[in-house]
Amino acid sequence: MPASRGRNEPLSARAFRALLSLYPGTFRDEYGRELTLVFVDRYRDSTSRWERIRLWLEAAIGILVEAPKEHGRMIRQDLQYAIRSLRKHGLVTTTIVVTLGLGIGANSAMFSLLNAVALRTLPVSDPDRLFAVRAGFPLASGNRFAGPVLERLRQSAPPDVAVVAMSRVARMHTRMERAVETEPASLQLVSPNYFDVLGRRPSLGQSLPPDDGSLIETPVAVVSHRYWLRRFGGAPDVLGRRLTINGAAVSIIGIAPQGFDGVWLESPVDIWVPLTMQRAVMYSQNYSADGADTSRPWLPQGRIWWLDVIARVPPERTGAAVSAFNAAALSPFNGAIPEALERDARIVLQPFARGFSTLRQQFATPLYVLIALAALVLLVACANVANLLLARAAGRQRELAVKMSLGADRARLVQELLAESVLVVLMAGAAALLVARWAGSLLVRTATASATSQAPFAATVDLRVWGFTAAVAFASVVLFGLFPAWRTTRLDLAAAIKAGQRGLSGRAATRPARLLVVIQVAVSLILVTGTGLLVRSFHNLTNANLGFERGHLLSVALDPRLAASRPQELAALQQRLLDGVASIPRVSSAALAMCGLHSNCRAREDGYQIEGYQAAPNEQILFLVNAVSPDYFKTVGMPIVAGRPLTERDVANGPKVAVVNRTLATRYFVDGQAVGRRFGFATRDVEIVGVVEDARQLNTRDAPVPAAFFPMAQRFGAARSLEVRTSGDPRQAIDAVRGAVTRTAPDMPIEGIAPIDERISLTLSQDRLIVFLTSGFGLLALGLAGFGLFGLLSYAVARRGPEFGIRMALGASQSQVVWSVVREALWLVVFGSVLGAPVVLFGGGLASALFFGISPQDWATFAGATMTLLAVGCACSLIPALRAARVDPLIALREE
Amino acid sequence: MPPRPARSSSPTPESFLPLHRDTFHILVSLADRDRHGYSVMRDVLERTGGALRFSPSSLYASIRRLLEKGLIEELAERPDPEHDDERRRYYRLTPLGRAVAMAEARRLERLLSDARATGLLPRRT
Repeated sequence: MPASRGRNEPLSARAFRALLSLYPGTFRDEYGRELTLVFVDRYRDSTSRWERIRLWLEAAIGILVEAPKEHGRMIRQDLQYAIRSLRKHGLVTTTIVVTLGLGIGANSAMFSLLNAVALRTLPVSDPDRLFAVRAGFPLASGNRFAGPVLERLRQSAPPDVAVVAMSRVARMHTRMERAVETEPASLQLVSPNYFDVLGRRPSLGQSLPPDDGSLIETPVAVVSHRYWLRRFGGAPDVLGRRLTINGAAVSIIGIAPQGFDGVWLESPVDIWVPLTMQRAVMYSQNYSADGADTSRPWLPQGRIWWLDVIARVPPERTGAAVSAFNAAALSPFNGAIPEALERDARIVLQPFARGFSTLRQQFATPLYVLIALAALVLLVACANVANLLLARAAGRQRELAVKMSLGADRARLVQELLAESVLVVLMAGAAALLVARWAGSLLVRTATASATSQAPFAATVDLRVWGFTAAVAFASVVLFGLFPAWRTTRLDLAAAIKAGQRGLSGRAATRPARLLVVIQVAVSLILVTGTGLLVRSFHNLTNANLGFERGHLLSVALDPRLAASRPQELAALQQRLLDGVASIPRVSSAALAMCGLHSNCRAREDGYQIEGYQAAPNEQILFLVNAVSPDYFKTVGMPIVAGRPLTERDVANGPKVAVVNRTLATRYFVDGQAVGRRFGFATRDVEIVGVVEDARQLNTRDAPVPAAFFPMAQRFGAARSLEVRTSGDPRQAIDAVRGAVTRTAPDMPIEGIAPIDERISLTLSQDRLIVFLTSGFGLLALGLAGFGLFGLLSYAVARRGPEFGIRMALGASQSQVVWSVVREALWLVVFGSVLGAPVVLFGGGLASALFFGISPQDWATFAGATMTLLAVGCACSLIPALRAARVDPLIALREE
Repeated sequence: MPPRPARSSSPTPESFLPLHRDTFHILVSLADRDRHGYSVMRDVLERTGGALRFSPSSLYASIRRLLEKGLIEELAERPDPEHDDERRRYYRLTPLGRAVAMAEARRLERLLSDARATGLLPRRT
C-alpha cells in the first residue's frame, strides 16, 4: 500500500504530506491525497538515488511555487465575493465604514497627538545619546543650574561627553534694521556648542562662535528656518543683517536647518543668542535666586539658578559621566552656592531624546486616559458593526448551511466572511487616517491654546501613527468580524435549512446581539459617567475660588525696561504709568507686579531664615515671591487678614517690609501671628507687616504655597504686569488703558491686554480640550449604543411580528405589547449598567488626576449617567415598540 | 464528491486559445482514455520523451484550473475497478474540453503548414 496513512506509511509520504501544509486547507483537502499518491508512485518508480533526489527537489520547488499562488487565488476569490456582497448592501456598508472610520479615526487622532507630545524624538542626530543633567534632590532651582556650576560640569566632563546649557524660551521684542515697529519673537540663550552637540549645524552661515571664557557679550544670533521664512521671506542676504532684541542689537550669522525649532516641544525658538547676552536682552525669567543681585549679569553668579543643562554621552558612558559630574558638583564652591546644595548635590542623567516639555508632563497622563476612552468608543462602534454583520448574516444562514452541507469547511467559511470585514476595515482605516490628519493639528492648537496662531508643533501622521492605526484596525476586525463569523458558521444545519429564508427566529437568533448591546451599554456608562465627572470638574475649575476677585480685572503684560533709557528712570516711569491708568474714569485702581496673575511667570526664592523657626537639617524654605506696587492687594481683591498692605511709605531706602500669605504665616509661625516677625537671608532684615489671604496666583489647580510680596520699590526688577480694576466690563476699558499706557511710554510695546478671566480661561485650555473630547466620546458612545439598541429591537420586533399578533389576538392590549418591548430595552440597559458599574467605580480612581474638586466615585454623577442611559433606552425602544403594537393579528396569523 | 459544475456561460472553444503547453498536454493525454493524475504524468513524460516532467503540485494546479474551466471532469465511478486503486480520482475530457483540444491542435497544424509553406520546415512528402 503505497500511500496508506499511519505507521506503515513510508517516511517519504509523511515528509511530503508535511510539505503540503503550505497549501490552503481547502486545496489540501481536495487534492492533498492525490498529490501524495502521485508523489509516492513516482518515488516508488524511481530507480536511482539521483532520481529520488531530483524528485524531491521538483516536488519541493513545485509546492513552494504553487502554494502561494493557491493562497492568492483564495484571497482574490474571497475579496471578489466580499466586494459583490458589500455593494449589494450599500447602506449597511456605508454605515459600517462611517461608524468604524469615526471609531478608528478618534483613536488615530488621539494617538497622533500623544505621538507628537510624548513619543516623538527630537530632530537631532542620535537623540538617544542626549541626557538632561538633573540634580537628584528636590532643588529650589527647579533643576536649573548656575553659571559657575555649569563651568564645573563642563570642565569635569569626560573628553567624549559634551555639555550644553540653555535658558528657557522667552518672548522678546525684536525690531528689524531701520524698522519702527517691534514684533514679538521667541528667544533662547544657549551655550556656543549648542548646534554642534545637537548635530544640527546651521544650514546657512555659521554657528555661534566658541566660548573663550571671557564672558564678554557676543552680539550674534542664529535664527530658525521658520523665522527666516516668516520675517525675511527666505532672503539669502539675511546674514550680517542686524536685529534689535529688547533694545540690544545683534547680527544674524546663521540659519538653523529646516525642521529644527529647538528642544522645547511647545516653545519653538525663533532666535538663539549666546548665554553671555542674558543681560543685554533683559532675560529675566524662570530663575531661582538666593541672595543674589539679579540686576548684574547672571552667568558669573553662583546664586542664580537659571540654566538647563543637557549632555551628549556615548552609550555605556553614562556612569562615568555621572561620577565626573558628581565629583565636580561636590567639590567646594567656596560659598558661591548655598552650602545645603553643595552637601546634597547628586547629579542624575535623564534621557532627553524627546526634549523638554511641560505640556508632556501635564498632558501625557490625560492623553493616555483619552486614548483609553477613544478605545472604548471604538469598542462600542465595533459592537454595533458586529451587530449589523450578525443581522445580515442571519439572513444568509440558509446559504451557509447549504454550503456546509456540501462539504465546505467551517474555517473556510469564516475566512470568506472575514474577507468582508477586512475590506470594510481597510476603507475605515483610510477614513481614519484622514480624520487623524485633519484632527491632529486642531488638537495640538487647542491643547497649546494657540487657536489663532500657528501650532507650535505638528501632529503629523507618521509611520508610528500608521502602525497604530493598522493595529487598531486589525484589533477591530478581530472584535467585530471574528465573532459574527464564528457565530454564524456555528449552525444546526437541519434547523437552519428548515427555517428557510427567514433564518432562525425567536430569542435564540438575537442572543449574541443582546450580549453586544449589553456590552455597549456598559461601555457607554463608563464614558457617560466620565463625561459627567469631567464636565463637573471643569465647572469647578472655572468657578474655583482663586483668592482674588477675577471679575472686572484687566491684566496688561508689558515691559517698562524697554521704555526707560536708564535703569534709574524705571521707578519714575512706572509711577507715571500707574498715574496715567488710574486717572481713567472707568478704572477704580491699578497696580504693577513683577509677576502677573496666571501669567506663567513664577519666581521662587530659597534659603530664607525665619525668626523663631528652626528648620530641619535638609529642609528647604522656599517662597513664591512677587514684587508689587502699593494698592496691589486692593486692585486684585486679595483681602488682608492681619496687619497692613504695602503702601507708598514702603520706599526704597526705608525699612524692608513684606506681606506674606496665610499659608506662609501658619506654616512658619506656630501661633500664626506673623505680623511684626522678621525673615530674610543671613540677616533676617525683612519685617512682615501684613498677612494676605491665600490665592491661587499661578494657576487654578495648584494649591497655594508660601508666598511673600515685597514692595516694588525695595526690589530690583521691573514690573511685567499691570493689573487694572475697572468699574464696569473690563473689555470696555481696554482701549482707554492701552491709550494711557501708550501716551506714557510710546516706545513700550504692550505684550497683551485682556480681562484676567480670559487669561485664566486660556490656562484651562487643556482641561477644556479634555472635557470637549470626553464629551464627544461620551455622546458618540451613547449615540452608537442607542443605535445598536434600536437596531436590535427593530430586528427582533420584525422577526417576532407573528408572536405579537398572536398575543394581541389572545387579548393583550397594545400598551401591554409596547411595554413588553420597552421593558426588554430597559432590562438590557440595567444589565449593561450593572456590568459597567464596577469599572466606573474602579477606573475613576485611575483617572483621578483629571478631576478637580470632585470625587471619581461621585454617586450623583453615576446616578445621572444611569438615568441618561435609561432615558436613551426608552427613547430608542419606542419606535420598535409602537411598531410591534401596530402588528395586525390577522395578517400575522395568516403569515404564520 | 460530485463532479464540479462547468461554467454556466457557454464559451466557444476558440476563446481558450492558445492553450498553455501543460494544459494542452494534459488534454491530449486524456483524449484517448480517462486517467488518474499519475497516469497523466507518465503519459506526458513518455510522449515528450522525458522533456516535460510535471511536479505533483504543478500537475494538480493545472488539473484544478481545467476542472474550474470545465474542460475536464472528475469521474463519478472508476473505469476499470479490477485493475485499479479505489482511492484514485479519474478525469475525463468534457465535450468542451475535447473541442478546445481539437481547436488547439488545428491551430498548431495551421502554424505547422505555414512553416512548411514558407520553407521553414521541409514539405511533407
